[in-house]
Amino acid sequence: MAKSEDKVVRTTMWSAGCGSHGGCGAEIYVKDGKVIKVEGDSNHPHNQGRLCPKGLAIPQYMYHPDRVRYPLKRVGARGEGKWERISWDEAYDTIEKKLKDIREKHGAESVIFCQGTGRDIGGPITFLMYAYGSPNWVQVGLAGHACYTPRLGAMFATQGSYSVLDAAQFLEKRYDDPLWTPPKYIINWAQNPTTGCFDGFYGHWIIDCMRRGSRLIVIDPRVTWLASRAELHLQNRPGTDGALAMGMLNVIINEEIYDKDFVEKWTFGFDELKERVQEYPPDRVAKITWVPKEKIIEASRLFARNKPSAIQWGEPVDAMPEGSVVAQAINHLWAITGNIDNPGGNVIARNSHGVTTYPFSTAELISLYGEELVKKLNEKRIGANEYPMIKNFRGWVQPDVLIEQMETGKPYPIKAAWIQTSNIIGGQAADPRRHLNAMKKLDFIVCVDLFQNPTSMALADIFLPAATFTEKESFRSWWAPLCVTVKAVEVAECKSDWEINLEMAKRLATNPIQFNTVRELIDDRLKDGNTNFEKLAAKGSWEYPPEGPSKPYYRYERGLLRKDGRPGFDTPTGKVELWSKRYEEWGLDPLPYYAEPAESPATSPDIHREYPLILTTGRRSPVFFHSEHRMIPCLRELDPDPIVEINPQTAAELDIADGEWVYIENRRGRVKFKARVTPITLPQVVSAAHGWWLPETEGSEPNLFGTWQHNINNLTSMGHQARSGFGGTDYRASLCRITKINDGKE
Amino acid sequence: MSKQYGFYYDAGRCIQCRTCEVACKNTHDIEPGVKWRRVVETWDGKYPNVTRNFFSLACMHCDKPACAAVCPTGAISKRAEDGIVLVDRDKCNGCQDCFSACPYDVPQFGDDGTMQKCDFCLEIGREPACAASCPAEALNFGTLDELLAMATGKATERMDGPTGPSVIIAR
Repeated sequence: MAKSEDKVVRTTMWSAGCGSHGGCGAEIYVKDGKVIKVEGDSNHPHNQGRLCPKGLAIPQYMYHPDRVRYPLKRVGARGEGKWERISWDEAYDTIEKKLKDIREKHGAESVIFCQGTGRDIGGPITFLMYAYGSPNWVQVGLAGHACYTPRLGAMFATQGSYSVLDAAQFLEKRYDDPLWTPPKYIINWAQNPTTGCFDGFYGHWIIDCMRRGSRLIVIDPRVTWLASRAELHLQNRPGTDGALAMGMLNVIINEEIYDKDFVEKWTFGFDELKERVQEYPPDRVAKITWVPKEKIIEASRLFARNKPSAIQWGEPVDAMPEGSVVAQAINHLWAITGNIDNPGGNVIARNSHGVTTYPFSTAELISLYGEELVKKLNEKRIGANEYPMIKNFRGWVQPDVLIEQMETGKPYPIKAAWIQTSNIIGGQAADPRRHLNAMKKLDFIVCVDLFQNPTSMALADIFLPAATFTEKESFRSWWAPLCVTVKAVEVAECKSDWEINLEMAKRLATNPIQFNTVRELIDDRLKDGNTNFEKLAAKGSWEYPPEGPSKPYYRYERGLLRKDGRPGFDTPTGKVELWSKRYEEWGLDPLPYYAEPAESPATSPDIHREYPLILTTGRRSPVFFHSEHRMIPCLRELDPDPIVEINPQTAAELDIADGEWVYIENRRGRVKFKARVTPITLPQVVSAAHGWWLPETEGSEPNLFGTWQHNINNLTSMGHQARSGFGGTDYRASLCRITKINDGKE
Repeated sequence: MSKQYGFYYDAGRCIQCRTCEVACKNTHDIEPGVKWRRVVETWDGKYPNVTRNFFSLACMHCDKPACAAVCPTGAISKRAEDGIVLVDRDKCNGCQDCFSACPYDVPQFGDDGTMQKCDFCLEIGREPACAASCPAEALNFGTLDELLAMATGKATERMDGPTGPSVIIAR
């Protein structure tokens, strides 16, 4: 018999459950108050009915026996793993008292508000933080803040707006809209979109474009599935993407195959850029990147001569040395070929309906909280004074500066942490041991999460149980359409991040909070889009924006990008700035350049002799979202072990067979991985999966769910931040060696 | 001739997202370690010209099922009207002869020791969950005639093998 349901709730997915970064539409099947099945919503334009395995696994996630269903307080020492169930009132009372005491004695800035990757958390966490009065919003340990922010900052400086590959996602009829045309060529740069779940970008869109004629150029050190379907694959040495971008600019400019009309009319600083790229002729770039010169030239020609074409890029761009500069150079590639806001190019992406989900940029922060408060908070914001780009572009703390401040207490001590949606020790942080030692010294730590993980186990004093997206109301304007998340069920005492933070903010706020319920808060933000939660829910959870600044194309010609309503781009010159005035103002080189990784065969030959392999980390698994989902049986079964990919030639030299256990070692540490011997990685490069911990093993210290044995970030470090503060890490390129363990057995 | 149901698998489209595997497991509440469907990867070529292909495999519902031929208790049968190979787990004695006979390692054995495998979601009465959930439209279900029509214009072949698998593959 088929399972029959009591109701089907149509909603937009965001955050916990599948871990969604994207914003897929789902149909939630509910029976007797429980979710029995989740399917893709074929009416939702984002995924058009498709869903990934993490989406299908949501019932197993929601009702997992290890899920934390009630607030907990720690009763043993930190890391001992002893917890006691408490009421929400007791949890809130304890937190209120502690955080008020700390604010009184040390100032609100001594409390840091820590999130993981930017999903449905930026809104709630900043809402609470600004109510409390702290300026310190951070992804703790995320070296160089290397997750989209460097790319966004580069686009903001260069073209005043963000843009993404145009897969017709801004048009309600999608591929059937006559305004749209597929990109002739797609450069898929350092991203594996068919496997990961990326920020507002659905991987199958690339395939949808391919089916409509788009051809592929893939830039990736690994042979991804897309790379093996590409017309050209530029398999570069990890960390050298900046040189490749400069080399491609060199070819396109010197061969004069750029869009002369666009460059003439809409860009600033072309001559300076032309001069700079002369330092990067293709043969020099080929030596740096290991990509044959002919391929660099051919890729440049195919991209420049076939308009429209577009670039879809990934997180490794941020993680490169001088990440915000690498992003600037790649931005220039689509700019000088005129592929901005054209159908099938890099279309400009703005918040749908002008609705702010959370204060994304400094400009939005000011519009929500007023210039005076923002100015005052910036005085204390960690890293803002050292890094003008951080101060002026986005309200984050600089994580490499934060860790030093936690250790030294200078210029002021950090006393407490509110950690929400973030597994710092077992996932996000470079050098997790250093972060654990520093954070252990804090007086008070709250973790808001769904499962115990290495971070909550080691650090939490209070654990608050959060909801999955099926158990919450929320909203999303990142990018189009405008979406709401509709609540289908409740699970025990779990609450949504918005609920928790609104309730906590009411207790901690220095100015009264004007919202009684989360619904009131959402409707207040949605009023900018002339709609409300109920209306959007009734429409199936989404709505496209009306004609105006949120709709493509050619908005720079129509005066829709600038506040003053004049044609042009929202930059100081009104043009796409190839020579960036904002970079100059922030004390940075206004033109792009290339920097080698801190540790590489070129920069550190002595280390390279001892550690002859290049280590790259962070390749995506289709069944996990970063450090999540390791406890979900139907997902873990498909990717059971931490895997390091080794080329067959290298494996043979090291006497390592497929499936054998190995140590990956460098100057910073040693972790245990299982070898997958595969030709998809370069002989000199090994690729290790990130975010590994074993929830089935002992959670208390010292084991902490096996995070010291299997988390690849034990081999990474802090302190290589870019000159802008954005970018510069060793997540994607460092040096290591590999040895077989115990005859390959575990 | 009566109809024969099968799968049409377009290897050019499969991205190894594993959705079919999870859809199968969740639909049938299959215990960990038991797989009615699995996706395997193959590589062709060497650096710098490597191609990846993936294959999503389950019971092939063969013309001449080797499993049924060797089953000592008559637990495995092929239905005349639609060609579905079915296993009656009440009759199965757990000898695993079928596993040895099957060229594709299809028969699975969980805690109760009896053979289990894909039944085209016959029991739940809908299009097989694996094909229905495939976001890449790589895996398709239907009668062999329907599937061949679906594959028109592609380089397709019926999977080769002594048992006559009811699977059509495009590369």
